[in-house]
Amino acid sequence: MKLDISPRVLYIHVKLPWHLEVAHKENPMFPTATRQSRTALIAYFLILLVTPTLVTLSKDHWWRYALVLIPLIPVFYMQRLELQNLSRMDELQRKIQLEALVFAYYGTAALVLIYGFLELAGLPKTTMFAAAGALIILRLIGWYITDRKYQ
Amino acid sequence: MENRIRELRAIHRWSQAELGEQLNVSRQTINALETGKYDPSLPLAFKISKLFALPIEQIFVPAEQ
Repeated sequence: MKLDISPRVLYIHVKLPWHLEVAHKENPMFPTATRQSRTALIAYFLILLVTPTLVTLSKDHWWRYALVLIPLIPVFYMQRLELQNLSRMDELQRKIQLEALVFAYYGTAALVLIYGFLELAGLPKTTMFAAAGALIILRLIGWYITDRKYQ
Repeated sequence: MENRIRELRAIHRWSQAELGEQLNVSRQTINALETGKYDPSLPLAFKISKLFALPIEQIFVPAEQ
């Protein structure tokens, strides 16, 4: 992932594996979906940059709890986009996404359980944010594997 | 399930992408159907049947037959 910031352009390039690029581009809604997802992703990162400062400035106020949850707004927007994009896909693309999600779901559950037990055995405590990262990575791996199956 | 989609597409001289466009599915879906990696839903099977103007049973054949 490359972040390119210039005075007139703020653009995030997310490079997918080549054959996923091809498969995804065959979806007629791909350009719109990508543009909207990119906007949501940019909004998320911008909010992430600003939120810690705002929370520090308002550390004695009750609304700091609301402020730390602001990054969830673009996340919910991305969720809505994803559902819209799913409804535009053809039946095979939907099947691929479903299999990728099942792979990610059980993979994340397994990782969380495994690390939970390892923590009991003495490994250092980790943050819950790691589960979100694992979910995204496993979703991409699941997508790659399932997509290859139907090539 | 086996099918005659590749054969019928060749008769009409359509590419996988062209057939996909007419059925409103991706080229990958057409390829998966032709190679037998994916069996279509009933609505898609009916669309294919209508496009080629053939009954479904003349396009799709159960593997054991």
